[in-house]
Amino acid sequence: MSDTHDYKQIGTRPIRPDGVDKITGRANYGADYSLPGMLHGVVLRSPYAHANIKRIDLGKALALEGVYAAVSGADFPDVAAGGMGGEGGGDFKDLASNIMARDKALYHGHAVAAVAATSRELAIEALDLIEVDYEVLTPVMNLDAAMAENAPLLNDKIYTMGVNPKPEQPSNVAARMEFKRGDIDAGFADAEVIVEGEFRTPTVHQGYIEPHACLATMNQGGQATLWCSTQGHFEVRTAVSKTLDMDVCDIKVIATEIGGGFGGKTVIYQEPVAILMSKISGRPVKMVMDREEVFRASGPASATLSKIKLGAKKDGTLTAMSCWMAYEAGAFPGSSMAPGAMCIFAPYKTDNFLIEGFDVVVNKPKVAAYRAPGAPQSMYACESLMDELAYKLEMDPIDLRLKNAVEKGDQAAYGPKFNEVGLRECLIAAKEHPNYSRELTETQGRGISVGFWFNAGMQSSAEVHINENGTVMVIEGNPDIGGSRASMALMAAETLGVPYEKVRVLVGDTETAGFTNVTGGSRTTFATGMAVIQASQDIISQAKQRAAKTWEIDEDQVDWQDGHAVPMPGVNADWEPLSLAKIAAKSGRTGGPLLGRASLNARGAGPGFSVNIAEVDVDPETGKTEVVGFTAIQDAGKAIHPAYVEGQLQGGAVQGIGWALNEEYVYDDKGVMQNPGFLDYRIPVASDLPKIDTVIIEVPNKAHPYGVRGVGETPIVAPLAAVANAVRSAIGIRVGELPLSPPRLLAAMDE
Amino acid sequence: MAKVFFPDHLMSYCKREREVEVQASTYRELVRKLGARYPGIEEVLLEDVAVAIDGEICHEPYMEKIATDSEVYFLHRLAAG
Repeated sequence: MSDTHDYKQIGTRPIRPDGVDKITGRANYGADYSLPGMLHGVVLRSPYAHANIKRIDLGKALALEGVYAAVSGADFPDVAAGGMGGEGGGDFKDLASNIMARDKALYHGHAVAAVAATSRELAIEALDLIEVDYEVLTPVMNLDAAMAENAPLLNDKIYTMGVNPKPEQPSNVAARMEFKRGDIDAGFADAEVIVEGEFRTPTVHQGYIEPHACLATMNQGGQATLWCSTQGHFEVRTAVSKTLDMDVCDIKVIATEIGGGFGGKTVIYQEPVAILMSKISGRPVKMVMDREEVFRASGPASATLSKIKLGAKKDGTLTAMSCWMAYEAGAFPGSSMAPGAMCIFAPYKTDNFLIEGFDVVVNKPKVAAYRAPGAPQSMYACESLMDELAYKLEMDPIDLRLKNAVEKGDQAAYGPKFNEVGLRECLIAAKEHPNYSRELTETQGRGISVGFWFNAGMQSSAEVHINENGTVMVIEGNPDIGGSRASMALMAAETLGVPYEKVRVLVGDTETAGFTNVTGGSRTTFATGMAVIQASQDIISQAKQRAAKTWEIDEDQVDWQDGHAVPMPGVNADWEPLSLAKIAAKSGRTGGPLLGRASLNARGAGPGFSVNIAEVDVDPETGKTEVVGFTAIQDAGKAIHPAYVEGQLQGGAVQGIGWALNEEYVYDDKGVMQNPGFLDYRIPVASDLPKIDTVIIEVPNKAHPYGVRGVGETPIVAPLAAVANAVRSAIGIRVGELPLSPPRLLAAMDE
Repeated sequence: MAKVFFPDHLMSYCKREREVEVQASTYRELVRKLGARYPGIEEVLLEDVAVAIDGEICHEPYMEKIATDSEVYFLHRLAAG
């Protein structure tokens, strides 16, 4: 286990292998690829948020010289309904209809046709020649409107799932779920203090800097090659296969370098369109969204409404917790309501709880995953109300959480009992941190919040090749978003006993790497790291065999120490240790190249807890909130590369601060987004932020050889409530709707 | 015998029993036995749920071992960002 390891490489902070190319501009991202004869594809998007498509005529666009392909929904195969798995996934039929509308446009910006031409400008000109007849319908733009009686329906085939018996009428409520334990009424009857609140969060975008981009080419044999910016090229291959009715073996997907994803690049938009237009035209087709398209047509995170109630004894012991929550799914069913519901009460010991959740369709882009999908919204509600409970009990908010914090052996609200978790350690670190006790001015406030995410395992593969001089090549299948090449290299170096600088890592495409699930779920360092460790152990086993052959002794008489094969103690042989380089140099004599492999379905992902401390200054004249201090504390299990763990903590904090204070989709009454650009959809920039302090807690995950927990998602969960609680502390008023923008705070203070 | 816990979204399959005991050495055997007890649940447990066995979440549990004192919880499948 990691707590007994004497690490030589893990825990150090070397330069990332891909760093030089990225800072010098040599790295190739999605839009950087070109091929001879390449066409440029663009998409015609619905000008209406809700409309029946009566007719599409591509004829005039196709007649324009330089246009080689034009497609609409009718050109795509029918796709059978079927689950994509996961809370953000939904259904392949819906995915196909999201990629290209069939008979109905379900949001402003929904793709209704596409054109490929010799230049982007010409393709855009051709879009104007496409004739579309719409029957405009009333848009349904928020939860209240969608759940109202007699609301216009997005899809009259949606009958609420999870209701028994099946409802007699269709509705916009795609699913209802319930999670409960104990006796909620008895729990509240037992309470000495009860607090209630209603909390809303807006539609927000992941805000990745690189827009969606791809390049596709199909040969005359029907085999396609696709370069795209994605978090998971194997999942892209599956999705393309389903939406174009192609065999996966006819689709090669190459993941380009990726300029941010945060969950938003676990789904596809343009890729099947580019392949289809390449098939039609016989030329490569490149498609790159602009920023406005990213906002109007790629998946944001759900807007939500939570009505929550907590009951407690006077000493702070929780007796009952309940929440009614509704999540917008966008145009098709499948929001992150379920994980939101499963996370909301996860940090606390609770015998009596009831959670009722609703998945609701509205005329907005289909939501996509966004770091710890569903958890920031629900835990914003819970952690805000925990803060109110602390006020009511006149109790320190960390002490209240410590009173109820889960630890090993406690049953999580989402089901199983926790193994080792680091919530208490995070809370204690927060309480002892100097940022928690420093003096504030009259207009400043401090807030804390807990964050939680499950973290995932899933399938990973890795190969380790030993070059003839003993240097190491790792081949794995996870696009590197947060420094995973460095983490993989560190784990291979640690396992093999070679210097980090002698290890290179290749992110293989779908034909060179073994199947590997998406870079998401905070799973890469945990699961693919485990595959790399096992593949390295395979190399060690082979290297010991080669040494045994060289020395003409039995294999079990050879040990591996610090990158060298050595005779076991007591073996009657006087051999010099053989380094990996020496073994590799003679590998041709002893059986051929050294190639280690591993594939696995990782179980035992360690849940991740965090605690954030936010300090804000609210200007009473303008309502503007300045974040003057922020401290992110998180249990990483074991930080393989601490600088990248700190980077995850800081990045999550920044995104969460933006969610809390600034970010929201603003729609007009016709369902048209009014702020589809970074000037008006304001993510925090460096000048908005203080230095974000980090503390890495290490409670090892015993399911991983080096104790790793995932760290990529938990950091975005706590900041929403931490900032909201700090604002509450500063102005003395609870504003239960995000973002806490200057007009909203000013209005609250004026009241 | 292993303890098996059903969440609310499986209540319609399991005759509203929240907790049952099953003698099984693998997840595959456990599902087969639950399928015999609750017709229709077998496919759901193989295709549509994640499972936590002794606190460890597993997305593809088909071959997982079950100990006599194991605790098995069924969960919604989770994707992530």
